[in-house]
Amino acid sequence: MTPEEIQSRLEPWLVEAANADTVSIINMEKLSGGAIQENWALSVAFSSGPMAGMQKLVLRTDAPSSILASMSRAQEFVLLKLAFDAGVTVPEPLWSCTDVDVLGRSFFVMRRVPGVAEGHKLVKDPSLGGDLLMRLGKELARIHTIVPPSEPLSFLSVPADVTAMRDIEQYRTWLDELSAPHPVLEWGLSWLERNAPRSDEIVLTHRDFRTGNFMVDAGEISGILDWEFAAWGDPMADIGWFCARCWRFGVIAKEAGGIGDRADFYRGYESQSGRTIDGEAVYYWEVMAHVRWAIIAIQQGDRFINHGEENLEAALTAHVVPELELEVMRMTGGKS
Amino acid sequence: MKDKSDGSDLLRLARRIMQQQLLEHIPAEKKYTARMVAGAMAIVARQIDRGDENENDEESRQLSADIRAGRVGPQLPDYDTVYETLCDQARLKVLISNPGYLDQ
Repeated sequence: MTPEEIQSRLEPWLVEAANADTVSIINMEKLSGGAIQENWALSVAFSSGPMAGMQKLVLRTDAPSSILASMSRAQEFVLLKLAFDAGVTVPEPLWSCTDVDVLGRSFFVMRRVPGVAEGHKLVKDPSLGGDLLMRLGKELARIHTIVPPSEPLSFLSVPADVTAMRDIEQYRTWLDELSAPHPVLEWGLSWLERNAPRSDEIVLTHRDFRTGNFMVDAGEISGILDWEFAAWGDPMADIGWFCARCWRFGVIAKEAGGIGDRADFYRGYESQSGRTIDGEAVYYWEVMAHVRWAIIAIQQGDRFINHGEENLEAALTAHVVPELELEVMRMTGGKS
Repeated sequence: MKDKSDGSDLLRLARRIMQQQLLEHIPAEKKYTARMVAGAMAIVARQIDRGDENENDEESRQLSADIRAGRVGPQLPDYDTVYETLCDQARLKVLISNPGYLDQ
């Protein structure tokens, strides 16, 4: 669909959704990123109603060729709403549409928040450090206040109390779908199985809470993004994902997301959640993080290697796998 | 005798010229792509240098199955050998994909 088509179909829909007399999309620009979704930045003039005035919004639709498993936009919208209501800093979700007659696929509209998300830029910003990490810890703790059972989140299944086994089984299935064998990842999964912790609590986990997936504006968090992998799980899994070496954008010594010390991130999380972070559990989930990211990276590379998709970024992503595998081996030495 | 590094030297030269002479003329919104191209050239140059070190797929497949089935466990005799072998394989692959990682 061309921008003009989207505009002509979306404007009348926004009139209804926002209870306005007239709506004009003044500007729209496709945002980069999003293998799974398409995102458009919109500047929209509402003549009346609760949104009256000029608003900066984001239109998020399913991409035309959606190859990776992901939740629907309607489900993501529900998650965003729950997170927003739980006090998590997210772009306010406004309206969702599952009627594919409007844009040819489902979509939702949220507010656009200012800031920088790119990990490689954030880790180079000397003004960011402990304060931001404290804030991030608190944000994550707020996400973890959402617990099952939850009627709106009934599309997410609740795992048994060893939530790690659900992940291990999933990753083994994914490995089986690939053409080449991956003994290092099998090794990692075997270690993860032997050491799988019982999850004392099951909460809503974001599952991609890391540098690169939150926006920072003038030193403050302006939005936690990318909710499409969220699932019920062990709260320590998100801590491990955030701190894993593979998400430090090269700034290895700053163990909390390449931004600063774990202590600050942990303090923020603990003060908001009342939980005590178990270092051993976090280590376990960091191993899981490397295994998971390695398998996803292989899947991305597979789009080029075995499916001929001309996508250089995906092809190069496969080349992060060796260092992830090496990290898995480094972390799983010893006799446990 | 044909020098094995011919191909990789040529690729490295092309990459250097791209980085030193072309990159500055590439518009800002395409710089990321250009850097990815340079990155891909570097990986291929190292691949040529190190030769085709693909491990034996059949052996790897058997080892994967053994590990999953619990036939390689901490209490079993082959455990340390398998550990060392897998570490070596991982290190060799890093030497191609991102050798700088080994210094970190």
